[in-house]
Amino acid sequence: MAPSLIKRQLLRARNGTAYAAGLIRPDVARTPRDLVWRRETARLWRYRSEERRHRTPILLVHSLVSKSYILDLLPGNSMVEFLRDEGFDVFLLDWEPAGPADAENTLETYADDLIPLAIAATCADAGAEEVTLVGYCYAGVLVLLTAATRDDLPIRNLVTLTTPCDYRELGFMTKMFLEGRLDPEDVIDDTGLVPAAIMDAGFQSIKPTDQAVQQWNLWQNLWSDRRLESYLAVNNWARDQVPFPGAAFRQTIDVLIRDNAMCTGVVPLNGGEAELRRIRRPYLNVFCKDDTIVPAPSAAPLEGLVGSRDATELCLESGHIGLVAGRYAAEVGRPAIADWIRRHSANRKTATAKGRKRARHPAGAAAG
Amino acid sequence: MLERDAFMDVLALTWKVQRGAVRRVGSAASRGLRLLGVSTRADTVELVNQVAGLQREVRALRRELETR
Repeated sequence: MAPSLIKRQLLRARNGTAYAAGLIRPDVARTPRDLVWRRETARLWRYRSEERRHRTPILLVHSLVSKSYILDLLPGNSMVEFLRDEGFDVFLLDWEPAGPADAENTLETYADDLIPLAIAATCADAGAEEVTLVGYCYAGVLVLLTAATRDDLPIRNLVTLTTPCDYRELGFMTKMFLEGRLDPEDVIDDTGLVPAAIMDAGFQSIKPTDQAVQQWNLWQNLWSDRRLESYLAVNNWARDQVPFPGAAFRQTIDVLIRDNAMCTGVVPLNGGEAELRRIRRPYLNVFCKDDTIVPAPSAAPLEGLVGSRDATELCLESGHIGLVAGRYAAEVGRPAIADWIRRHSANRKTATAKGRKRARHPAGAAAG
Repeated sequence: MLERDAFMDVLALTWKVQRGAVRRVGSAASRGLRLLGVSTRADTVELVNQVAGLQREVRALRRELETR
């Protein structure tokens, strides 16, 4: 039960003082894990578990544009913890923030080099023959490019979470580049990186009123320690951007945004072409109806572009963050994703079921 | 409002003018400071980029060793 009005004001005064003094810092990413492989900025973590019931490990690949703790936000509100408790062997491919030495990293560096190496390291560490490869947000693009160009890799299933495909649907941020108002060189700094502050400004520009709304939300949550911790964890993450390698940024603008190559199904890569129709593995495309960062119309075309006979679309009634954290994620999003992976990790027969599926947000409706 | 052409044009132009102005002022300040024998931000950036280039060479050599 919520405390009385007076008690709430006193709690607000106490927590507000602590917040203003910088004494409240949510303790994020607490699920126990071990570093099992590293290369340049790539870090492969394996989450400790006493009860791994599924043979095919899950390799979560995090986006290059944010920090990975959104996937392991707080105990009880963590994608990683949920999947682990469902009996999966969970690995996370995380990226250290890019430095000047990474400025020349291209999409190939990630899709054709670091991700394949991480898949091999995952199989070696887990003693598994195949992995379920999951890409979150921009990492979804990378894992799709990996799967489209590397038939030889032991990828059993492919899952993309809120992954942009049609860049014309991304709104203000891409329109600034799409129509040539800005060029990559206008935002790349002298060390060859897009600074974190510019990435942050870009994301803030999607919802310019958000900062004012967040102040109100902060006031609403300030009296409760638990609510305040969740609020700060999510909001700190939303502003906690990382620098982006300049070379990959140029490719993103020229190929993905201006040529809208993902939407055509053919992306120039490594001197050749990555054709999405060459992806034959079971595929799950998860996106969110209320997502303002990657709107549903941007992510939705992916299911029709891959060549998999077992391609499933799952549209959830949440926003970008609500897919992996929060009450809706706990009740609907995470169980539906885990259910699809479980069914497709069971045996070969279920993994090659025929026909395309569409699901609209009920838990478990994305069954293949 | 945000996605109106005129607004985006003005925003992009403002950004470019601001960035150009900062660069020109920085460049002029660097020339002045160099005359006084003081190291500048441009010198630091150059050094950072040299170190980054070396790091990339080390990475390339490591990869070459691994493939042998």
